[in-house]
Amino acid sequence: MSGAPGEDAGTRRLRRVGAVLWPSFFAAGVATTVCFAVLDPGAIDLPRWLPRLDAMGIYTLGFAAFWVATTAASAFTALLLEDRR
Amino acid sequence: MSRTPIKLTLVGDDGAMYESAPKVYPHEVPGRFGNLRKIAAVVLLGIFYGLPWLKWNGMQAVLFDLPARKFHLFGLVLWPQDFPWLAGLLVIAGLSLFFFTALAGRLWCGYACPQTVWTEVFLWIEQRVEGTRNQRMKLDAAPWSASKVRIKATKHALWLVLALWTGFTFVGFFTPIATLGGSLLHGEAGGWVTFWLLFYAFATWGNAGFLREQVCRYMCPYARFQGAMFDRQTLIIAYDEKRGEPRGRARKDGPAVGDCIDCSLCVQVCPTGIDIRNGLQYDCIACGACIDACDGVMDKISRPRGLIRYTTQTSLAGAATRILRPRVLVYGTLLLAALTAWTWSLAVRMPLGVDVLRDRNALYRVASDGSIENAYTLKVMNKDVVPHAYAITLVDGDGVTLVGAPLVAEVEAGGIAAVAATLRAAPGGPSMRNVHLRVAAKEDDRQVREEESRFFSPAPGATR
Ligand code: SF4
Ligand code: SF4
Repeated sequence: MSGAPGEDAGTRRLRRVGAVLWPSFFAAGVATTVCFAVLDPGAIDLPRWLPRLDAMGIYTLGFAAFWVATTAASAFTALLLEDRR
Repeated sequence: MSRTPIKLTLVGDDGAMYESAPKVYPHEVPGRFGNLRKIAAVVLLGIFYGLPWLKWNGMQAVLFDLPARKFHLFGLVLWPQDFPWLAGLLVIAGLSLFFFTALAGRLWCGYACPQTVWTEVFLWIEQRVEGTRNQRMKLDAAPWSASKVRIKATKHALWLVLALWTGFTFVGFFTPIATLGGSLLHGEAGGWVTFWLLFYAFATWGNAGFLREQVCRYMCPYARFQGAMFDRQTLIIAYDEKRGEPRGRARKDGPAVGDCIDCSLCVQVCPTGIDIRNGLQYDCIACGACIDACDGVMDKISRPRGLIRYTTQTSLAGAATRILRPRVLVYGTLLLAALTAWTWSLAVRMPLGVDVLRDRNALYRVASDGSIENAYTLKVMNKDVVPHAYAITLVDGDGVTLVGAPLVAEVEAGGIAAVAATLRAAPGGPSMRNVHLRVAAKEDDRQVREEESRFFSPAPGATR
């Protein structure tokens, strides 16, 4: 992913951050939906060290966890596709 | 399927497309497509902001009640078990996107995409507060002064109000909006709800206020794969090169020129900052602003409209455009099939759900008279829009009876009831029997479910 001619560094960075964040956000959203369609947050035994969470909290946490995972995958892909100079 | 490659310039293929300053200042011009875009925006935003306030049978008409794990859609109640319908809805949405893209290009981008619609509104505010394109450019270039601070602060205050209201509405789709509004007013809204409200408000503010066309250019997957759904017969917005070139102003004794007077208005109005005269580009969201701009110019110089217009590559090349082509037919058939299957399955869906749970603590119990009893809990879900009374019976006795049969469960619309049931058998039967419990709505004999469970007895010879 070398930048296009005329593209400044800021645009290039924005382009990469966007390309990593947005699709991973989308994928995390789908994963969260599917996950909680099957799992009832009320029926999950959370580890004891976690603060007690209501359903909304568990959805949020689940989404955040998925997003971290998908972002990491996207970011690694972006990194590996980077031109090695 | 026609495999003729169509030429799409990828973002960044051509350095000339980039101006050194990445910020785009779209110029506002009146016109047909601008009006159409405004109408679309008003309708769509009206639906978004209004829908959560709509009541249906005393309930919020559209509510994806996450805490209660129930989706309300105009009286229809979907439970987590109904997830396939939701997935089906997404498949239908995807197929529609394919179909309309093949037929009419990026209609979605230009008129319906939230990114476009909210950018349009934010831009509208910006234009009201900061003025025309030139005034905005001048303001941004000017050093900070009291009046610049005042203008910018006004704009951001208005943006912020809109963004917060948007976040509030968004969360209102997932938790009852009236209650949410009340708890926010009293400062007692839950932390998570507040977090999502602010998150969505922030995303709106950032996407519509700052990122704008960058989202379409760098972040949107649809913008990239739409090329796969396009062919030469797809409706696009294009500049008629044959008619326009060579561009320039006609001089008395100069060479003959085309209709394009090179006023660059089409570039100034473009929300993604491209020059449509360079050909079909990934960056073009097909908003039609350049058509409006150019039509206005053509009117002024008394030339026919349509130097930039909705057309197809085939027709630009002088051939007739075929609307019904294999690609359109295939997408159309798939879409129709999915829609039919979805509607049909929803229409015949039985609005009754039953779960039979065995008592977790004991396999069986020996009653005082020596008979064997097993305990169960029946979860009866009424997914209908009216309350129902259900009769619970045991289907095949096999020596087992339901104590107190028939049991009756009264469940409100969209409600769930847990009914305790006891099955009884004389001692000495087989150690395990399959039993079938039947739940039937009293006034509607189509609503019947039978669920299987097990009945355990002490193994013959065992004492207890
Ligand atoms: S080229 Fe025209 S239709 Fe395409 S985004 Fe720009 S103004 Fe809109
Ligand atoms: S608005 Fe029309 S006349 Fe003006 S530069 Fe664009 S294509 Fe040419």
